[in-house]
Amino acid sequence: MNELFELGLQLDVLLRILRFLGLLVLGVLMVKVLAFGVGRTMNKRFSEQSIMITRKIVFYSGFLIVVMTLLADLGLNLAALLGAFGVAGIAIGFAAQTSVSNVISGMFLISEKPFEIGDIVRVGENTGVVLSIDLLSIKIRTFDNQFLRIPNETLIKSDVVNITRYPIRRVTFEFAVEYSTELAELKRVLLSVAAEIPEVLDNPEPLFLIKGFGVRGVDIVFGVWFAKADFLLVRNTVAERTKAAFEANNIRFAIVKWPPEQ
Amino acid sequence: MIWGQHSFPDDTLFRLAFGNLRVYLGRRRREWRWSLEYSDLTEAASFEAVGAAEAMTLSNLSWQRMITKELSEVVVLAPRLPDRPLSIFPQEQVQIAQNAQVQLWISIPLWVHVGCAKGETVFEAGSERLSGSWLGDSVGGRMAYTLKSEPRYHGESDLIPDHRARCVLSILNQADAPFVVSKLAVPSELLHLYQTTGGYGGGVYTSEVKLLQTRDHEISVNPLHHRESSRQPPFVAARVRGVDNFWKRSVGLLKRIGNYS
Repeated sequence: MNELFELGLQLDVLLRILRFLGLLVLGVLMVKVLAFGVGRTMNKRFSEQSIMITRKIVFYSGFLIVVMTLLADLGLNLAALLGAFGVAGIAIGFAAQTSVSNVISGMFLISEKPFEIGDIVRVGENTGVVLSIDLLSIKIRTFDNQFLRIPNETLIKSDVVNITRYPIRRVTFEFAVEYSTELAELKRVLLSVAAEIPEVLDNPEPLFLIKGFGVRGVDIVFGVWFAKADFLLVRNTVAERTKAAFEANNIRFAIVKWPPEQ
Repeated sequence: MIWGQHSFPDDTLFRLAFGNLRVYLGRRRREWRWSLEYSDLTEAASFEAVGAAEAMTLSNLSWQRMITKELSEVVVLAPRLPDRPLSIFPQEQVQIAQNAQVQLWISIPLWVHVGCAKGETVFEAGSERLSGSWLGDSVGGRMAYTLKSEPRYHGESDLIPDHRARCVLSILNQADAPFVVSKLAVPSELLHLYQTTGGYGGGVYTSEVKLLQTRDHEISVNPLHHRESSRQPPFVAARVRGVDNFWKRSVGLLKRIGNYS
């Protein structure tokens, strides 16, 4: 132990360590500048996630080259090291099956492009804005401002809804009205509600569908189209005005009363 | 008419009425503030200072503000055509026989441009509040406005309100089957505005729109200079100008309108 301590204090070794660390910092800086430059060059021609992935590939490849070069400079036998890595690789491969699966899934996601950075997606019960698409996972900011990491493998196996993929959307309201309601009048009222809101598109036309005759009353589906940016405004305004129009025209929502009337 | 420059002193509130649009507009140095609302009633175009008594009643309005680059003691009011294409849905479908040509007349609501002396835009607003519409399918296309204007066969002498511009659509059907017109798209951002020289019942009018259904049932839309205006420069140039842009837009519109009419 003493011998090792004395050896570590030798000036030559100290200088070598300092040189290694200095070159490592310099190398990492250069690689970062290179990755940044590549990202800037790609800026206007490629999507954000392509740029991000390319920058990461450039950075990690460059970092590996820098480390290997410096280890060779220290006098380490790289052939033996790589041989040892090969043996260790098999063991690591078994242990890192999930990560490899995520990386391969990430490659599929990047090539398939089901969504891009900035899109609003729904995965399972989670909805949010895509912050980044990486090789292992995607990161999402949910609307209640939580950070959510979803492994790529999970995404490949799940149903992913890209809410903002297309420029226009439809919001649908499902409700029931009492059986005494005149359905032609109901349709007229709902369509006039839609027509009075400028953000609701006239084309495609609003959807009015008599879904069926349920236990509560007549089940209705009413949907309106809008530009995707107007979601909250349209949803709230349509709901608010529909209720007001129903009250003005004496149309009643069918509700289940509890306890049931005798 | 309200078009042109108007004196616009500091701390004086003005009222602009144009079609269904009502605007209260004021300025303190470079800060402009305005309040927009739409009325159910149409009013003749006017731009007048608001009296002190009326100004006292306006505390409930919601204001928008803008600080301009330059100090401008005048306000410039200019007409514009809508910033998106227009979708027109005639109440009844029209069939145009093979090799027949027809002229339809519509009127388009004008937008008002409010700006500073050196051309800086403060805001633009439509004289009517038009509903949104979509040209194309649900996957791709572009936003438009729905225009509730029944095309007329003999519209040249009709009186139209001063907040609308007359527009002629020339439709030629070269196909070997009747052309059913259930919807019309008018690329209003490609049209110039012209001032009347006495014809067409007064007011302003736009470039003519030529709509052609070819033998292969392809539809092309082409804005043209108006016959009357061949020697007259536009009163207000189209929002989108330049040959490249024009052709790109025309080809794009052609594709969209191809599955539209």
